[in-house]
Amino acid sequence: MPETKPESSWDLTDKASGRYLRHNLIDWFSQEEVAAARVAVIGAGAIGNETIKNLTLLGVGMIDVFDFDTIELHNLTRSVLFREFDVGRNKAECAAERARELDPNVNVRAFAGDFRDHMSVHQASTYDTVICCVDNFEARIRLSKMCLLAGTDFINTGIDSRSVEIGFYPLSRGTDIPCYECGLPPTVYQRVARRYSCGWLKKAAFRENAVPTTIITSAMAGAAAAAIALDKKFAGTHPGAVRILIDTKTFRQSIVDLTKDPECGGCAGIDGVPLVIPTKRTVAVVPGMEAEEFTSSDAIITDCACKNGCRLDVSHIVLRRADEFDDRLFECPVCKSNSVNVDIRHTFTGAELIGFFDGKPFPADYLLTKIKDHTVCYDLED
Amino acid sequence: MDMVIIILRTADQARKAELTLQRSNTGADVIQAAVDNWNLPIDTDYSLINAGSGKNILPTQRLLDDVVKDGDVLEIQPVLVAGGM
Repeated sequence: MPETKPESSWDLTDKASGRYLRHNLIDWFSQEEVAAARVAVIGAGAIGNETIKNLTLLGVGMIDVFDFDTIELHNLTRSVLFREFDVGRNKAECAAERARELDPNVNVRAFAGDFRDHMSVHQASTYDTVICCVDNFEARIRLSKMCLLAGTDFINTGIDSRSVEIGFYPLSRGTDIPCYECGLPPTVYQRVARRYSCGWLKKAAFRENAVPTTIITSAMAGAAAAAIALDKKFAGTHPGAVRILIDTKTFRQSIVDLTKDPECGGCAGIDGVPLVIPTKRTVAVVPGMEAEEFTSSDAIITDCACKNGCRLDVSHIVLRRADEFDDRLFECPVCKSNSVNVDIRHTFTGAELIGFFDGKPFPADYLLTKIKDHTVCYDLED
Repeated sequence: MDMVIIILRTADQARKAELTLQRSNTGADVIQAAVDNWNLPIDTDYSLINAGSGKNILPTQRLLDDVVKDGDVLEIQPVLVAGGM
């Protein structure tokens, strides 16, 4: 009996070779290289849609899409992958589904939820490039730090109604490369801080201003992000970190070589290439490290008590991340006054970690410490 | 010399001015002066670049000889935050 070739095999090969026929005519373009690329796109909004579409049409082999948000009607003016009947669906799931329709050869995975709940530092290290398409500084800073620890190249995108900003941070090339936070103006941190009360509890009444954008700027940002991801794969035109600003009215653009900031809040405290150690979330400090200082990726609530002596059940609050709560925590549910003291900490000694968390899960993304002046990242996993 | 004369402009080149600055001034001082004097939107964050050298000037960086020379053009650029929806 003659051996039959599995249908999916010949189907995929023939269709794939035909699909990429024009790419194969480009002398500097290797479809195999592109197909081998692993890219994470954080945020499947306006820029995310364009970036995912471009990477898919280019035939990038693996694309992971992260977004917690759902599609709203007003998103449709800037979202090539969404339709009116998609309103209410998760953006990552919908974008991934549409991308798979564009090219079934591309492995597109959707992660519905906050990227931090799905992506560890170790997972970030498995990508060639992480492309940041979010809409707030806080997520950019967190993602940049994760890529810095992972040694993964980071592309930042930002837009308004007229301009496009693209930042390329080739963090895989060593510790001399500036990170996203290098040179960030102090007003950015002041803006982030305004969302929180003292101690990283969110302000319940805070509302973020929406920045108006159009498909013109988001399409250019998505094209530039994909182009830089490709350029990195082939020519590597930019040896260091660069920031590009494009004015879509005048078509002026500037390309700036970024300088490493010795006082940077993101990378100045990182010594050497960080050693990332995937670790169970349950705290167990190695003997001999009781006096070492550990810095948590997140502020942690360690105590919560009413100054007026009211008896409170705080078991659902203590030893959780501060950003899970808002400033209503200061109001005592018993005496109804603003009398609750909340202890929130970022740093712990090894002995304190054991004291607070012995046998319990540590709720942050990672813990940083130094061993012989070298940064070590305990990447916490469930 | 502890003074330097530069041209400062916005990224859209709608505003331009000649400024005499002290070498001890920082990048953040220049940005603040532009925001104050040109009434730039305060809900936007800005960075400063040297358009001639193509390098950014850090907020804490002083305008020393190796950073800025007389006649250099410095540009105030917005740090863009939108991207999602």
